[in-house]
Amino acid sequence: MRPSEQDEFSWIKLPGTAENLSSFQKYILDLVKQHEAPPDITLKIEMVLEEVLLNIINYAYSGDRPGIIKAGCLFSDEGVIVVRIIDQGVPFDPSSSPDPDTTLPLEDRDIGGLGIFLVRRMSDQVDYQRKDGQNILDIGFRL
Amino acid sequence: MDVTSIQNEKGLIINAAGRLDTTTASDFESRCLEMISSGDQNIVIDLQGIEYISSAGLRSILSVGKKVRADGGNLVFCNLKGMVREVFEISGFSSIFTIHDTREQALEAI
Repeated sequence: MRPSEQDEFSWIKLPGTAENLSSFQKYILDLVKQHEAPPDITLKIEMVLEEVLLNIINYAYSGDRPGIIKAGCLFSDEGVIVVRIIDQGVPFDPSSSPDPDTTLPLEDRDIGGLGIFLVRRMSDQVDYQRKDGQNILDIGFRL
Repeated sequence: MDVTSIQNEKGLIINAAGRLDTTTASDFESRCLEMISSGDQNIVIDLQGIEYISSAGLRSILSVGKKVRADGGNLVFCNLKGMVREVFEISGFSSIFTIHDTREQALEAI
């Protein structure tokens, strides 16, 4: 399912700030809606973007200046929407971070790790690669 | 994000509508905590009007849940739709909280 380098992604590239989250979401979701994806998949993509981008915004870059984040989207002939998110922050592989314990009672529950867990469970595939100092994350949704 | 409450003879019903995301979750949390501070023991949160939820929304719900539990109260949820129901199930929130299909059922059970 991993798209080749030649595949045509449409990209948005902005500084990774919380203020820019909605611009990233709007750009990708407009494309997704143009391809007439069902509403439930559109909502999942919106949530996945919120979780992944906030994670990068909050943890990937040290220092005062926000790093640049590139987010793109590709529609494969096999009916898969691939959302690709690229950052130059510290290496982080969301596809292999440990699952939170979702069976703990209320008193013992901690919210840590739940966002990335939701990303993995609400999408059909998550592929990570570290290349040329970049985190490249592909999240696939089958139509 | 719209949060309103109705006092019923059985308990306090909190009605939430809109999006429970990173920009609205803290508002939802503080509004709920404000509403439950009057000491009601039985609380129903009706999520019928929530169409979108992220982990930030879950965090606010967990925080409200812990507060109600610490005060010795009872918190249940009802009317979870589509994505909200799915996110509750995946995250295990369907097991840590009692979920009812309708507001009537929730009020009957508390």
